[in-house]
Amino acid sequence: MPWRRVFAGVGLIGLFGIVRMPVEQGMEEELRAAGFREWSPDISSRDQLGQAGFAGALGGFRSLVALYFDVKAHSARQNKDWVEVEKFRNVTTTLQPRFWKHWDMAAWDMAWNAYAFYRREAERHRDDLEGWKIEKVTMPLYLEKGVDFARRGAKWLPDSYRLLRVVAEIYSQKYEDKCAAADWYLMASQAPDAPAYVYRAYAHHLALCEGSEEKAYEVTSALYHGGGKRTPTLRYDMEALEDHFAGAAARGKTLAELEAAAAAPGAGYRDLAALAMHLLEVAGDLSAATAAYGRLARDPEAPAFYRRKWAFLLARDPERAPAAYRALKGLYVADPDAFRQGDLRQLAELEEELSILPGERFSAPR
Amino acid sequence: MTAGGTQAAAERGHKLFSPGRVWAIARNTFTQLVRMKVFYFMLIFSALIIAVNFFFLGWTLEQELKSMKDAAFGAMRIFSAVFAIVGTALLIPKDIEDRTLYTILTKPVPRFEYLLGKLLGVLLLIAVSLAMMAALFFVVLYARQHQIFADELAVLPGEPSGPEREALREAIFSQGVQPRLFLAVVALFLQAAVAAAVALVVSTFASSTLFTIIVSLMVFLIGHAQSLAREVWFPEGVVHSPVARVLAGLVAIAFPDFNLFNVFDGIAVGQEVPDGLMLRLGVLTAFYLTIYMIVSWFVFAKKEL
Repeated sequence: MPWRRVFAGVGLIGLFGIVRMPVEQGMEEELRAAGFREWSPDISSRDQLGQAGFAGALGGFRSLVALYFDVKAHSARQNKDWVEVEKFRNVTTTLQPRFWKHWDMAAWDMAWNAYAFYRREAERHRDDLEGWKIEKVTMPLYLEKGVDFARRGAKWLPDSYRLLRVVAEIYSQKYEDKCAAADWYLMASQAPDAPAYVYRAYAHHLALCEGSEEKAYEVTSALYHGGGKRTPTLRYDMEALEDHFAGAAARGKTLAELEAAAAAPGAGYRDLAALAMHLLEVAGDLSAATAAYGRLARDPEAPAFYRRKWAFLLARDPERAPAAYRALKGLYVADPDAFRQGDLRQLAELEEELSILPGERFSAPR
Repeated sequence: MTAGGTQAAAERGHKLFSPGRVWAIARNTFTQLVRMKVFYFMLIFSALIIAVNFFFLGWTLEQELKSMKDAAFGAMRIFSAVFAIVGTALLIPKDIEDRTLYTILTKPVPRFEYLLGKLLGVLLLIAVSLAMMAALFFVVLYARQHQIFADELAVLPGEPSGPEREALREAIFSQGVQPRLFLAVVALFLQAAVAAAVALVVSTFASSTLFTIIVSLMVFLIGHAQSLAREVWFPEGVVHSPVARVLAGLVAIAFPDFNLFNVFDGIAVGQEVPDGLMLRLGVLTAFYLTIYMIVSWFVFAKKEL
């Protein structure tokens, strides 16, 4: 063996190593800055992954190891072993924190699947201490874990709306905390990739958040009049908020004050809406209320649903009911989405009263 | 012409380095490896890709496509590394066993050319194998992403609007065939090339094929953790003891950094490869190959065969 040459070779490798070390370190840092090195091995990850998984992840098979643990999490979910599911989801999110679906699945497993499982368990043990413990301790714990996964994921992906939306959904559907949900939907809507519906979801949750009606009206009104898509939810929220403010004014002020406000120069349709509601609900003057709503229906500034309201009021007068029916039919043909299920039921009753022939009716539930 | 004249003419015509001779050895090496029926691996790879297609556990569309990529690239990584290390480790012992080595080296072929030809032959095999695997996988992935898109459209209630359709398409296709994936295949090739060069160095002084394979595999595995050693040498927070730093420095100097070529994990989750990084990885690989070739030649040039 030509040992002198072997040593020379080793020396050359060493020299090359010294030269390339800072270059490789620079490239490694560049990759890290670009999000290619989110996972760094430590003692806890060896415990999490096990010896083989750790070696695999370290040996350049991080994606494959993450896939393996994803399958294991799925299998644990089938077995309803939520402790294992959480453990495996922690591994997948640690190995590939920039894959949003890992966080989404983790949050879903905890806040939906585990939560639903324990809710059934609580129902099964309804009459004993175990049921109480599950309901008061375990179920909230899994909701918290779900939110925690989604929040941690959102920190990894600050430019994406997806996980912020997941947090918002948990607050909305599980905690029934519409105000917190609105806050998270707002954050989600500000992400560069957020679709338009996320902001509409923010507006909707704000409308459901008690105490935020002013802000909700501002946001919903901007969406409603903004020329975008008027979804049924947006229409419903707009109407509910209009009714909320009109109702508050109608009950808080006298008829004289409301009339003065509606007649004042610069008065808007909302002053008239408050007066109309006062006449209808406080004074009980159907004729005057119908007249006020008629003025509202003709106001180009007022939302379209006031025309529907006016026509339904008009229909209460048997003499004017046929005309009201024709008006409602016209409104329905022009914009069927302006009619809710309750409105359609009312229409069906009106058609019955007016003995409209079945073939000419238009109020069949959609 | 006299015998002396023929010899003189031959010496005048003989070049110290001939790309033609290197290419002939490379082609021969490639053929030699192909005859070892290495391409049977494609059967395994195809079976894997097809199996992964049926292996969806009620996953979402993003998970489904990503898991296909994870499995396929994991397999490509394993196959390319195994070809690089085992293929190279077999070459010189096989040539000695077949006596081909003596036939070549008794001709005016420098040992450097012989080694270079052998290495190029292995690299050619790796390139062809990776190209075949990538082509097969991309076709399957492309078909799958279109199928998923069609399936998702079919289950949507009503006719989706243009933006809804586009959003769905974007969500699915972002996990499908993307130009970034080609970069991941190139990175796999570069990594396998360095592994082959390491195996070539080891095989020049190894006493057996098994020794070459084991040592090269160990270098390959340690090389994946080499960046950890470098971090001890270039600390960013905790400063380690001088002994630990020296040991880490030695590891960082002696072993190639195989983890540097690992860009697939980032690409799989949608990260963009930094500008010019692939070019620099290519240049770094060229340096690795050059240095390891020189070292192989140092040892092999005077080796008694």
